[in-house]
Amino acid sequence: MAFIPMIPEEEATGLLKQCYDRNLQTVGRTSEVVTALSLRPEALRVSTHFRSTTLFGASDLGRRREEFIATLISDLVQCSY
Amino acid sequence: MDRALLAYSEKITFFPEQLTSGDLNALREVGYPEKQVLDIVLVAGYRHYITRIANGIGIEIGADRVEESILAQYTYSHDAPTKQASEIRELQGDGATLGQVMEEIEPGLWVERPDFSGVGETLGTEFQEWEKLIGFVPNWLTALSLHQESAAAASEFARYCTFGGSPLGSPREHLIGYLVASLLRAPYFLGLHGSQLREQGASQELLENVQGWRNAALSEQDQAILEFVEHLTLDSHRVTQEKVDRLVATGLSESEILDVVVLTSFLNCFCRVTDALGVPLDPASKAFFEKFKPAFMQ
Repeated sequence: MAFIPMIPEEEATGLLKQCYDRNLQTVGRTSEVVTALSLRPEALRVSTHFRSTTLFGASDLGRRREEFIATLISDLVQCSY
Repeated sequence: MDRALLAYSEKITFFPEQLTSGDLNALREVGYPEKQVLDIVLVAGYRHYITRIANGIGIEIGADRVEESILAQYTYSHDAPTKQASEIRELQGDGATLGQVMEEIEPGLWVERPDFSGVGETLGTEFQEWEKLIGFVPNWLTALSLHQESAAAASEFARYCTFGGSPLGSPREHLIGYLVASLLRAPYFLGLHGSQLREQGASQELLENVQGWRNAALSEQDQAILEFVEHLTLDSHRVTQEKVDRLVATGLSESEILDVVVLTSFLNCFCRVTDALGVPLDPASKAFFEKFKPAFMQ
């Protein structure tokens, strides 16, 4: 269970709902790391924008190499998510 | 090429302050073009942001999305020995002071920066926003200009969580930024936040040794925040509900705790990015370091 409350999809309104909807369109689900920022919709908006311009096809590395980096760093900093 | 990618990812994780232009050249030599070199830095940097968010908020991946055997292999105990920089430095006996790290920095930016006549409207607007906000375009932003969309998005993100953009407010943002940069020995953001803290009247004692915050004249809430920031930066997997509750006990709201997590995570990303690219100090930071260099050499 997360350390702070997270707003579920069905309760999202306004900017938060827009962020959730956009994430659903691009990733196909509302992932936990998105709802983690739900108490601050503007933080979610700017960080999601940065992600979408940097990863998941926005880099020239390709998904395989992006995931190589992601998996190694997640293990090194011990982040199971 | 994959091996070089992973070696670089490991170094930017544990020893960002030891990165040199040679590390980027190693990527170029195995065949990565210039734009992909920048991509590697940004993708690795982003991972240091999002892993801190996940560990700082305590989110877990749903068992429906990952095979149980894989989940078991990558589930970390809060009590597990850390792999993070603090203990690795101790093991390897790396005792370089911040001042020594600074003396060894190679001058100049280590990636290509395009002619700014070619800067697109979105990034150009971001440049103008920084001019309005602090009177200059910070070097970290121009360093990313080869990837204009990403640079513009990073700029917007930075304006949200620093220089008074976040609900935490400017002095506290700079205090957090100064500590994270000090822990990571990241000169660029140390200078940026340190010079701002100095302008806002921070004590000489705190500016000389922010890692000694436990003995500094700070409020109980600021001390609790800095303790949390230290954990999230160096040992993020050890953040627990108990540590979050300690922040709540000082009167911080859950939204404000999220602000602390977001800013710390952002800085864990961008301190590494600036170290990785050899971003030159901004003018105000140079003056700050001249003043505090003797203290940083100790």
